[in-house]
Amino acid sequence: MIITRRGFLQKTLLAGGALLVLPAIRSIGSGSSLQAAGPESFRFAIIGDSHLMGKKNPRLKLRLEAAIREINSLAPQPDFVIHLGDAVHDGTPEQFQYFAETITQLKPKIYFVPGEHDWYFDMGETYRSVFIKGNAPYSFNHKGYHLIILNGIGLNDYWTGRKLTPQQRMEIAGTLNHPLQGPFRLGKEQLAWLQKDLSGVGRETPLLIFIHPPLYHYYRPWNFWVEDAPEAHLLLKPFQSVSVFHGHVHHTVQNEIDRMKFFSTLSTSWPYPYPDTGVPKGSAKMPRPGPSNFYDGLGWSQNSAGNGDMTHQDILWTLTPPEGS
Amino acid sequence: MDINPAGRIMMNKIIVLFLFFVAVIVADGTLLSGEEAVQHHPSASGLEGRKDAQGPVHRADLARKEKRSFAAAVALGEKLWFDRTLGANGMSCNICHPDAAATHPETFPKFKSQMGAVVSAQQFINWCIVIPLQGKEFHLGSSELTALEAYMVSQNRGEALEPGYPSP
Repeated sequence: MIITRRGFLQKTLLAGGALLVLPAIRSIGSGSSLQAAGPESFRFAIIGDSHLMGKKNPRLKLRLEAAIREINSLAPQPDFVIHLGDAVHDGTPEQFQYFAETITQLKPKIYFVPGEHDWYFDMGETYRSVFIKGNAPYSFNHKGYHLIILNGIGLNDYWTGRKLTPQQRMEIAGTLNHPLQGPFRLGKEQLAWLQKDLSGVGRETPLLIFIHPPLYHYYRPWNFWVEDAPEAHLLLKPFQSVSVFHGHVHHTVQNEIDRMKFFSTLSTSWPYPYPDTGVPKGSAKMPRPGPSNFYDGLGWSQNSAGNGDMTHQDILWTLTPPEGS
Repeated sequence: MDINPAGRIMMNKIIVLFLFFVAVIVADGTLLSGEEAVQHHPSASGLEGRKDAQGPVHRADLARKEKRSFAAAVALGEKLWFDRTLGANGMSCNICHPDAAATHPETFPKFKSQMGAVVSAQQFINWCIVIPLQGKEFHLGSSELTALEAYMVSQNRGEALEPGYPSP
């Protein structure tokens, strides 16, 4: 049996408005036994960083709703949608209520990843109970793929000693260049969980990892960073195909470390500039967004998995604004 | 010389006063301190080696005042930059422009399509306050707008001037 190998980092500009189509996972090695037990094909969509601020800022809701409409109109429908975190901006009950009323319009099943804006007002209580409906990290299998949702937004305690209010704690965690924030960490406990979780997974099983910040060292001044990411890489890299999907950076960026592939998904709130230190080698930059265009620099992503292969497609609204805009 | 006693006394007083002021200034340790004069400008070290670098300023008192006043404007500007009540919708300058990134003050004045004219950095900060932040504009030259400009420019120190450079 012949398995075709896709070209690596093949960049295609689609008429449909995709910026980049990158095969995320190399085809798994040839061999009929693998093929027989091989993963089935499916599609999933990713949204993230919606940062809803409640009624005082309906624009953020309109942008999230544009992504919801586009995903709802996909045919066939994706198997599921991942929200990469920062659903709301200040973590207040009012904002979570506003977000819940909005996201309920989405038709496919949705999984939630914790972002720092969801977490540091009530230490994740609402986000865990209402949206994750459990705790993070968690994992599950889907059509031969193993999916892991990590909690990438752990911070050292800067609030107890300073006797900060929940609002003050949130404002610091939510200001990406705040000097008191410190780097994100997975922590020893979560790394131990990851090791245990992976111990039951065959090395030929493709892994799809979802985490809010990039799971590597990208740009420390804005906390585009997970301090102990290299320890997670050691656990992940024995696997034949590893794709890591993250938000937090509000722009397109890709990376590859030891054959593991890292993809950002755009935000639906506002774009962040690129760091002045540049992007990882091989990563493409999106055009500079225009501040007066309602949807510029924003979007979501479509992803197709199948045959151990995977493509990630950024839907960048700069190129194709949503209908009705 | 024909100076009457009253005039001599006056002259003595003037000399004493003069010596007193010299003593005060010397005691302050600034008149003779070349370091203070050269480094009065926050970016002086960055200018060293530039052939058009500004020379030292000998009026140390003015140099100190200038340094303090500029630092105060930058500090106010930083406070306003992070202020989520500057506008009406919970946004701040820093949310889209952390560390004043992607503001490019070195390219102003320039034509901004949003405003249909060649505008100054202050005019475009006002545009951002009114449109993305849904706030009220400041008067051009107001302490607030000048402070925001001071923070934005100081964060982008070292960028080469490119007036008129196009942007989205």
